[in-house]
Amino acid sequence: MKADAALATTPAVRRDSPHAEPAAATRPVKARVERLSFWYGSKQALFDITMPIHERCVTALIGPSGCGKSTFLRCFNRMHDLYPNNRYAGHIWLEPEGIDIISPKTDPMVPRLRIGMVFQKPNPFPKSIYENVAAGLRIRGVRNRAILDEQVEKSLRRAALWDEVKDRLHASAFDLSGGQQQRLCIARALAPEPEVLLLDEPTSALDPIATAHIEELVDELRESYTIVIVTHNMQQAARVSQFTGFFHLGKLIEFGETEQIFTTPRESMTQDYITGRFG
Amino acid sequence: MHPSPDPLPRIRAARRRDLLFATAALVVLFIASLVLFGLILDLVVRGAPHLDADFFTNYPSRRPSRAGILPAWVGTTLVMLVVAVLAIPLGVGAGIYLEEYARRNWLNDVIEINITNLAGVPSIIYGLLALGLFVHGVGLGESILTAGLTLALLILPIIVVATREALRALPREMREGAFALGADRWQTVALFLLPAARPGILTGIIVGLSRAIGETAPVITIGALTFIAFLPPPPITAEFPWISFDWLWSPFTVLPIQMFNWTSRPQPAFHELAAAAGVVLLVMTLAMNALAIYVRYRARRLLG
Ligand SMILES: Nc1ncnc2c1ncn2[C@@H]1O[C@H](COP(=O)(O)OP(=O)(O)O)[C@@H](O)[C@H]1O
Ligand SMILES: [Mg+2]
Repeated sequence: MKADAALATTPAVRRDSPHAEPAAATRPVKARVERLSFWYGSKQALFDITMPIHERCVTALIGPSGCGKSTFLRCFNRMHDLYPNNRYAGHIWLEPEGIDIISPKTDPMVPRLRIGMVFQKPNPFPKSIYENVAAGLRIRGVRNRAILDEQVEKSLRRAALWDEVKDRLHASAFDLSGGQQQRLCIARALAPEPEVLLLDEPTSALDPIATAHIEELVDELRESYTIVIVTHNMQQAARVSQFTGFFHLGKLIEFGETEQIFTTPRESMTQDYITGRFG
Repeated sequence: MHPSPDPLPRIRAARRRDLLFATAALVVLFIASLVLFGLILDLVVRGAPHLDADFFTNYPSRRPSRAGILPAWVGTTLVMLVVAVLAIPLGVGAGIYLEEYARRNWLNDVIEINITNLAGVPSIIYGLLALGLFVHGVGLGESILTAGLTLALLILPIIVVATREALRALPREMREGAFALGADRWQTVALFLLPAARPGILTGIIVGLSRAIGETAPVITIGALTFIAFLPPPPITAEFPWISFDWLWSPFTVLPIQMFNWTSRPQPAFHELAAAAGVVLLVMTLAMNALAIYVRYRARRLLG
């Protein structure tokens, strides 16, 4: 909590613009979504979506609640496979190999082992802080204590949580505050060093200070990770992302560089949404 | 603003209703505990004088002063050992399978309906089934193994249902979190779900074992002896391989049968012995519960 309080003095809005980077669109593509549709049983939730996910960039997904942002995000790690009667169509090509993530021929474990996810509600396991971060490594068969220790510390540092928990790594994860739990979940997702990080409204359950913390973190993580973040908060999208996709009723209405989406949207619906006329 | 009606009468009525319900519940609980406490007290008062070392080391006898429960408590312990070894892994395993692995199809629906209904079948039916199947059919005889199998079968549904419910009660975020990290199904179950579901599963196991330890009807049906003057062969032997499973095939008796036998005698002294055996049975059951509470407590401490 001490570090949280210290952060209260830093403004939530970043000073340097993330859009200043030249020619972000020429960045290599980490994943290519091609004509993706998705059905919950007979109810179609996504319609023919095509968009790139640029490598080492933050891609924000915005849109009114219920427009399919979470549904879209959960296609990347095949979360929908956990429930019966869900159906995908189209492709999500994971580069550089060009594996089709949602092909029935691709084992869902393949994307899950390469793509990490942080959920809307912090969901630490009922284990110690240490074991939460080590979980992904244990799943991958890492037993060596030294490697585990090192990776746990590294991940907690990257998630800006190390200083707050280093003296109580073996305490229950449930002893942490909501913001700390969410950073723990980020550390847990980072520990196996995924290529892509999916964040589904990671700050919606958090207070403004914890939110600022996580936003700063996302901005730092983009140096090494490809990040897709769902947010219903447009300021957040503007602050942390380089690319933005605007969803409405399961369709991708507009995709482009964040700067362009927020200053000169091509679609009137995007314009209406970002100016708060609906949503 | 409309003038809102005075909310106080409504609040008062609500308070009265709560009070009424709480009082009624308390009274019922009090009466129930009083009856239970009275029964236990009666048992202890009548049985306590007989609870000496001889009582545990003597065989049954025609003379009440020399009669003991040695074969009965040994029999109960061994039968419960068989029950635990069979019913816990099978029941927990079946619960995991049905909850985490089985897809919805007619076969699994049939299994599910059967298991739920099995929990309601009178225990004597299990005895009859076991008599036909284990004693005569498979030829296991009137043995500890047969008793263990029968009682394991009897409590299997309890453990299966408890396991399923404990797993189902876990938040789906936990399952999703594990899968999203790249865990396969088995890792998800073994590393994350089972540890979190342990308290609930343990409760089911103890409820089941407590039921089994007190069962009389099915054990009589499969032919447990009501009078026995020998012990099963010891599980540990003097020569290689030092472990023997001959006891599994031995005839046996168990505490409830010993009690049943004594209460059906005319002499009052035997009734007191039955009370003493009842105390032993109660203590064994309570010990199992205490163990479960302890393990549950340790499991919960980490959950914060
Ligand atoms: N498990 C489900 N079964 C059926 N429909 C669902 C399910 N989950 C979400 N939906 C529906 O799919 C649409 C998109 O939902 P979601 O992706 O959660 O939206 P968002 O994350 O943008 O708020 C909504 O209409 C929602 O009601
Ligand atoms: Mg959502």
